[in-house]
Amino acid sequence: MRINAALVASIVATTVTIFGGASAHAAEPGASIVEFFNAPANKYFISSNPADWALLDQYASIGWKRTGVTFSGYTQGQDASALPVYRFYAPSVGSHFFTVSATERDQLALIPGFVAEGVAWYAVPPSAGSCKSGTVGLYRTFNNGAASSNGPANHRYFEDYSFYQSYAAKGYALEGLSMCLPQSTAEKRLDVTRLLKQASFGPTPAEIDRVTTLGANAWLAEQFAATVSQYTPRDYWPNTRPDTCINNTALPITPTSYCARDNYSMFPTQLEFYKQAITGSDQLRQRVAWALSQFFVVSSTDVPLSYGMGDYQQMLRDNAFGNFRTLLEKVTLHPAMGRFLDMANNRKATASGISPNENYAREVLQLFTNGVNLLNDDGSEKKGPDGKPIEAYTQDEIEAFAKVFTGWTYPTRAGVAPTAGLNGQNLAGTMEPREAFHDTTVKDLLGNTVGPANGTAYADLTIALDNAFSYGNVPPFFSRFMIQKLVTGNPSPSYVLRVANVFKNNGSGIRGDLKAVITSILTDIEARGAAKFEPTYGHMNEPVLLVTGLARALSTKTDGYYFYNSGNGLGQTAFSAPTVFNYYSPDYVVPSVNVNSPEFGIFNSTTALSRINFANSALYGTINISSALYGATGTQFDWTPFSSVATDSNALLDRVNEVMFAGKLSAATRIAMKTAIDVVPASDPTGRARAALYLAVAAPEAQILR
Amino acid sequence: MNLSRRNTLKALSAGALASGLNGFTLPFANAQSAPSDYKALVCIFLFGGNDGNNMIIPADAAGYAAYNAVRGPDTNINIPQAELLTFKPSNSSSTYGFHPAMSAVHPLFDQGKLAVIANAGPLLAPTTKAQYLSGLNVPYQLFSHSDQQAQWQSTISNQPARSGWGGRLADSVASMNGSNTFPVLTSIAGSTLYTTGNTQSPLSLPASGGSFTLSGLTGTDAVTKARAAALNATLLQGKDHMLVKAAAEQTEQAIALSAKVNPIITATNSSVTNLFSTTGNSLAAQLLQVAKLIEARATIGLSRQIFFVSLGGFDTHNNQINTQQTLLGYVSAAMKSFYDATAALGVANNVTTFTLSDFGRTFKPSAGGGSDHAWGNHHMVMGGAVKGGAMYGTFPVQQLGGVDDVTTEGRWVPSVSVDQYAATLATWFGVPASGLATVAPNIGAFANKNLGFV
Repeated sequence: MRINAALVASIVATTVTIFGGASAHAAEPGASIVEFFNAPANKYFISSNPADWALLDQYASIGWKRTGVTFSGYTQGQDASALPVYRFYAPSVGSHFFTVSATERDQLALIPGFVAEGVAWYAVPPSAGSCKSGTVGLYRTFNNGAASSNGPANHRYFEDYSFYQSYAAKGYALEGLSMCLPQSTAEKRLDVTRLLKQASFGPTPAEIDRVTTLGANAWLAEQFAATVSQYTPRDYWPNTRPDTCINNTALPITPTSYCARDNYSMFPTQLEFYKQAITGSDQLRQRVAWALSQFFVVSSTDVPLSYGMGDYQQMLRDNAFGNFRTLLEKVTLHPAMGRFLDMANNRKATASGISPNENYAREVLQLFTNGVNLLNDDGSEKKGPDGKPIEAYTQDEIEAFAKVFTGWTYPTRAGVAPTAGLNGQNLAGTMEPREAFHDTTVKDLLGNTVGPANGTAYADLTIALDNAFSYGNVPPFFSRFMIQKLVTGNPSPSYVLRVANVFKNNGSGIRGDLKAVITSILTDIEARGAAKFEPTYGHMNEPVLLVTGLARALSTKTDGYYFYNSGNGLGQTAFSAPTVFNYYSPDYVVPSVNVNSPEFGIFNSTTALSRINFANSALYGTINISSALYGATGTQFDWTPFSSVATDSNALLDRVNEVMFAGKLSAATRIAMKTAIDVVPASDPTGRARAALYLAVAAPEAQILR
Repeated sequence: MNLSRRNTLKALSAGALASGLNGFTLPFANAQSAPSDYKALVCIFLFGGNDGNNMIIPADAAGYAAYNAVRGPDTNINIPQAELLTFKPSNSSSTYGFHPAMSAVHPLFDQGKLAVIANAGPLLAPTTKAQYLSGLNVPYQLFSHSDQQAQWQSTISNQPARSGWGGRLADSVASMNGSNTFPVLTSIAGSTLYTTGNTQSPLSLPASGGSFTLSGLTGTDAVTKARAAALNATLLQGKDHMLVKAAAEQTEQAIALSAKVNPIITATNSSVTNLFSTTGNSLAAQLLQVAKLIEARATIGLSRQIFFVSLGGFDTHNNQINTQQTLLGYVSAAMKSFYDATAALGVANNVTTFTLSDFGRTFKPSAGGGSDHAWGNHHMVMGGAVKGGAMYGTFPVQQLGGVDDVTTEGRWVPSVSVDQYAATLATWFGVPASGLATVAPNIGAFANKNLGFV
């Protein structure tokens, strides 16, 4: 401990800084403030002085490390209302203190044991307890040294109000708003990049520029209003492929040459999915729909016809910003789901001893609404008197729901006269009731809800879906899932609680408002604030996001052909999850580090290599225009944002750090990458961009979205 | 695998060689000694819940009549008596029949290379229907896919588990492999709980036909070499973030093992390839990969190996008669090919193959020509060391609401537990009685710790 105090003291003695000379008209904050932490000494330190940083960076061996937290400050004269921030040092505890108040400065000067170290940077004093527009508050906590777990007396400063408040529980005193700081464009850009990794299929260089100017809230408003991308509606095809429907490879091809592929595989749906994810404007809606497709799973394992899958996925997109209850009903009555989980043509018990099919009944409760155990609103499991989880439903209740989900058949096909009987397979549209096949007995549903006797198929369905939707688990169960898909795999209980409360009530008394839920997830302090520096925060970019992330970084124009099956070898073939349990479980815990991180469920030694090999193929391979796609236009990358700066490898790395790493490129990785980039001649800027992007896809620091 | 541990072992190994200590081995837990033999366990997981009630059907008059009373010809899931591939267990007075799609493995039963485990499932202790109905000894979340898969893969049925019994078995026998740090576990079917140990983590490989190497980095030009070096360097950074660390270590393990493994799995001169028909049969492609790895056992150099393969699609709520016909045909053909491969390699007695699945299915049919989620289920164990031609466990009384049905739809209370099934295989693998609780923590609840099938 002494050595650290001495070290800091030595910094102080030599490097007190008073910034000066910055233009009063400079748009950017002139001072960067970097936070360090010394774990052995249990001590935080902030400094705006690059000489301090350099010195502490050299002393990693005795524990000094950057926390990742940075702030911005003004320099003298940069802002008319900014005042000097005075830095003091208390050698007895080896700790620093910063104040923008001249009164406080004068008081401290009279106290023995405080050494005045001059002006660190400039900041605006709070006015009536708040900060003026264009600045953010810096909150101060104080650990008085009483709790041994907190180490010696020390202050820590926060821009993140929630993070600041959490320090009360650690025994720190919350000392309030200490000063108001500007935000640099770089800080804003990094947060925009993070937002685009959370809420889109990856940032493009142009989109980072645009959203930085637009602002996050305006971007969200724009996205909620954006025109919905469309899967091309496809004609009905019978379940068994007619012998006349084959793949005819003869050139020139026509729109119907590949009849078998285009109708009896996921090809056209996957192709449009990737094309629109990479090039579409309604990024947020598509990203949310992709998440929903992993919640309300329908897989090509049982629904291998593209006309049905495309219709189902479009339904998810159309309802992505609507109400959960509406979506739940549309999912329930979609014939692709009806086929996948056997609700289509399900019927009441027969004289020959056949029971109603339980498949949809079980999974709608287990996966689409409530989960297996009762939850608190913060997502934690409720415990019974025996300390064990409480099961959310019984086998008897599943059987009651199975009775509800009887008497529905496939939609009557256009041009076919409706009948009172059960229809053959038709995977697009909405299922239709057939009362003669509906179980009209009493159904004991969840809790005390009873579906009365003699109800119609739709009346019973309404009661049952209302029952499942109003059951307590849905808000935390769904909210946690969506947080995991968009932001972080192991959200704090308070994050889940905040979002779940929005699910329960959007502020206007509406339960299940998905637009409000998504807004809450993306604007939450845990999505935007300092929690991102925690060592378990974030999630791995699942294969689809790895593919689209690279494509969008390169501002790709594509007909989709190159990408449609790119997830296959990576463990995530689009719309082909192995079962209704999706590609991986939301509860997956990475064994080696004991952290809940769902996407690691499909990350293993095979996919670890194939993910990197995808980058190799995409960046170094030749992408031809397919002769098997009618109207093919191929795939073109725009290397310019990278190649235009690549003669300077540091400039290239700055760009790659922003777009691919969201600023998380460590100094050591940067050095390793720079070495490889510099070997590529500067006369080959595209080659340099290739190398940089290949290594960015491969680097674990970029694979974890934070 | 924990890399620091691997490096330590690597260093130990190098030291042993340098000092000329032949046969250097690490101290063994459980006083096990280095075996001179080779043994492999191969787990075939049938995802979705295979309907054992149509895989093994009573074939004598009374038994089939009971079957026919519930799954008669008008139920759409009936298997006609005449189509059964009959067998008579040496330890039973009854005759049974395999599903008609299983003609390939059927002869192995009479040859004594295949045994049937009747009505096995997750249990907390030996349990009767009355005890179940009184709420005693009920495993958590019966009839749920995810939870029951976890229980079959972990043996742990009182709370969610973080490790699988294959993983813990690998932990237990790792010392038998001496200083060899090649993973004990290899999955050809991705990440699963079964292969997750407390110290051992699996190698995951693609099915036969795939490769396991980084492409584009073999060039000897300066640019490529620098790119490869930088890639390796990036794997060492950022590890103060737990997920970065996990991703980096997994990638590092894969790259480190690819040099040894890729030549094995991409070799075109394997002697066993022609024994498998992999067209459309993913399980056969996976088992061919296992056979190739066993063929290369001298190169890999392990004494104990555990493999995991799987086939999905068994959740036959609908159209079961056609689906199961296809799937059991794949299982049967793949298992027979694999048995033949082990025989051709001279290790038939050293390799034991067994099935697991989510759960059995309701004996009572459900709408759509299928069956719903249930509990106890029948399984198969195959290999030269297996005491085949017999049935282990007790075949259930096939009566709705009967003595073995805990509901009224035909959900059998298991006669033997996953713990006993796992402990029997672990014992064959070389785990002493004192070590069985590591593999199957609840084995103490069962007096019989060895079902005797191997």
